[in-house]
Amino acid sequence: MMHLSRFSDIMAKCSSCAFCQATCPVFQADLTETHMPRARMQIIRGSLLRDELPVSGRVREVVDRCLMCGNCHRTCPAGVPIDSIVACARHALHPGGSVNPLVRPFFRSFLENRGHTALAAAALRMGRFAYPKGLPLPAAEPFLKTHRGVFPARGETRAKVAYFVGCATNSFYPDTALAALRALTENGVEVTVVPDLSCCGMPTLAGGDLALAESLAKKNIAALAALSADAIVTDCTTCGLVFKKKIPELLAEENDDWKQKAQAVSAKVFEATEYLMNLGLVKAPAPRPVRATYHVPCHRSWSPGLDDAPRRALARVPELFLAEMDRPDACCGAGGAYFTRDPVLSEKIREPKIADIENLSVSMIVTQCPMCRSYLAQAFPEKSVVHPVSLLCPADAV
Amino acid sequence: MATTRTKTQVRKGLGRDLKRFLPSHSVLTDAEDLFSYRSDATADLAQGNPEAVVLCESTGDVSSVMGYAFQHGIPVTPRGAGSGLSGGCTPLHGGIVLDMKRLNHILEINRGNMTASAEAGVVLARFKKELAGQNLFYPPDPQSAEVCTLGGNVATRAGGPRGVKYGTTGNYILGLELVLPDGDIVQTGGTCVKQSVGYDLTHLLCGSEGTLGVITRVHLRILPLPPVNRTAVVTCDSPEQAAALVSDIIAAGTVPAMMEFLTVMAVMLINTFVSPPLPMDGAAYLLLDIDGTEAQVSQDIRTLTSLCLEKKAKDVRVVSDPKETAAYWRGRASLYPLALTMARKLITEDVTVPRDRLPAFVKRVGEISAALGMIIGIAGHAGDGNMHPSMLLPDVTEASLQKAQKAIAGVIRAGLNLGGTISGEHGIGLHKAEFIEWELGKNQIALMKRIKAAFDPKNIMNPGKIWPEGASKP
Repeated sequence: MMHLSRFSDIMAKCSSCAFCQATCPVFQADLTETHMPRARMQIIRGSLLRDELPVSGRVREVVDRCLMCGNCHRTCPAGVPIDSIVACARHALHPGGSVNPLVRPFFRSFLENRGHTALAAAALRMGRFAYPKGLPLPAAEPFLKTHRGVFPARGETRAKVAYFVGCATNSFYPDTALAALRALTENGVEVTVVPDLSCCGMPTLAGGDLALAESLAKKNIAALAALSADAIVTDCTTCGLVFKKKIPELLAEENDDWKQKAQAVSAKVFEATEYLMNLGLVKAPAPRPVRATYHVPCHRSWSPGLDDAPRRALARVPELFLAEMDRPDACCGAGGAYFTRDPVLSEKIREPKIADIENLSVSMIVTQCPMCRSYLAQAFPEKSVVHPVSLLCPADAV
Repeated sequence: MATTRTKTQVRKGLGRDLKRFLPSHSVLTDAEDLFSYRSDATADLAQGNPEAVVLCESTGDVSSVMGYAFQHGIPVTPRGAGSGLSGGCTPLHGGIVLDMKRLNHILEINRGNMTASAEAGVVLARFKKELAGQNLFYPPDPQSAEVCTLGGNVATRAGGPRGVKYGTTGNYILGLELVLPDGDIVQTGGTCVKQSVGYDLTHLLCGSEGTLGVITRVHLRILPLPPVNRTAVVTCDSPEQAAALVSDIIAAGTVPAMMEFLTVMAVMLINTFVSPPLPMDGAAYLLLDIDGTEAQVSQDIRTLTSLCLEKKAKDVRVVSDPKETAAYWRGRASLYPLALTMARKLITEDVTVPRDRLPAFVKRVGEISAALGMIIGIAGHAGDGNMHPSMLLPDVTEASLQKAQKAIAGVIRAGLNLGGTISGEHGIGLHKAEFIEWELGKNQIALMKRIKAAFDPKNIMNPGKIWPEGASKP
């Protein structure tokens, strides 16, 4: 299993330049150096690898006060993967993961089986007390319950892809998964919705449950590596990050077979909007007479065109006007489900985002990450908050 | 080389005392917090835990802490982003660290007077962005602009690549608000572009590295934003050729906004940012930015292209796409941390020589590097003669450190022999303190110490900085 000590050498590459202050949402909100990535890493190293600091409640607080947005890793000139280091530290500090032991079996079942099994769904409905506050309730029918198998391309088949639907999209926004499916097939892409895949594993990495993260990764990699698809597309930027970067890292100490499979899958992973824009649209998207803005999700470092593709996509939507925020790439504060654990911090991070959006008088917010989407929708109940790929459906398919 | 203080002896009741006159959330005394404030961007050279950190939110906070510290003779170290390259804000003698980042309000942007006023903790990049939104411009651009603070810039007399055309922080500071060691607040200078009243305390404070008082507000001169800028890369056959071209380009009448000297190693690192990559067949490179009106910029580009080709430069590449241009300069800004990825340890110097002595300096650094068998990178803001010779240590052993020490001394001596200075923009802090006497001589140091004593009779302001033997521990 991935252990903190594996990162000793790369941690030594930190020059203490402090450039990570610029993009860490927690530091920006706290303006306290203890909560900047440089210190977070030094405290982890000092307490868990060296004898510089005792493991204390404050160490736990510092390690837990991180959204795992990965902005520090993206900004670090030396490329220190502080998010992965935090995952390992959480593993060391919270044996078995940070999720409440009572909820853990449901959580595990949810991640492994995706689409809230009957048991998990019942637990959710009966036990709202155990359900994270602020998280949207799952839709009546998850996307994967109704959509599995091969969906042929309309017209000439230009490409064949496997569609990895993110858990949040599957459960909270099945309409988005449906729209992605339509946008792809209408534009000549044959789509296979693979049954029996699991969650990508990000919630387990964030919770420090590395054993579960590894078992989910292996299950997914085995299934996806066996496919002969041209590409694996996902609607979720976090799933993309996990397949592209985190799983190869997670399985780096496995045998060559696993490593090769993980690399092969990683190389084929694309975000749906970007994939479609790079392939080129065959059909013009349906007109949308709205003023919209685009929020760039933090989990974007895995694909250089990830933030450009939605802008290109929106430019193709007739009658849609894109108004840019002052800081479109600033974190919205969601941090996956972090906002359910520490709403005070998340709201503080979201504040400037809200002000930025309010300045634009838009009626639509576009973003690829389902959790950003959910958290921004809570702030703007009157606006529609959508995934860019859903705007690419042609008029006759909407 | 400076030492490391590992054990914190915390003055009893310090946190409790501070919380008597400050909100308790503004005072940090947990071990983890103190650990986070123990150095700047030179963590591997020296560290020292403070005994308390105060997150200042107003000049009043600073004043009350200073009054208390003065009364009890406790060392105080002001701190901006903690991104400095001299150990200037490393609290080597413990005491109280004043974190100034929450004093972050831009107070005024005055277009009619072309001045701006801001609190000391305002981040430089935010200040520049705010100005650019109004077509205004504040040129100083230390490479840590995304995080460093205006107060830190003034305290270290920060520069950056634009020094060649626009000068450094010292050329823009008009006045400041200062909290003296006993807690009194004074306003020096103001927002007039001409001032001739008494001693120029504003500029005395500029570069004082927190040893005279705490800067809480700054008044700065600003300029109209140049409408056009273009980047050029000149590939040269030898470091000497590139160094000679620097003065040739300026003598020809073009004054680039930035003119950076890069070795092939630096270009290799920058190539991780730019596409298409720069050719690797040069021995040294100049990275330039030309700004001004369209007519001026086009004329300057023509002049410098023909001049460089006439002087047998291998290649001149002109980049005008703003996104592409930004990639080159982002690569340049990341050079220091990137270089560290190639070595176990990196020691960067800040020697500056008169521009026309650059070829001689570059040659001398090459000789030192060869004689000691140590890699010395010499990227630098060559346009203003400010070089950053960097010793790359493959390992951290006594032998390597000794060799690096010899290299540093050699490089600094070479710079001084050519009429240069030991620091162009980083300041002295801890890491250059041992060489300061070479440049200033005994009499000047004695004079400076009398000034220090006049401001700070109890020697509580950032003790141990600038002076070689350090201030005696209070």
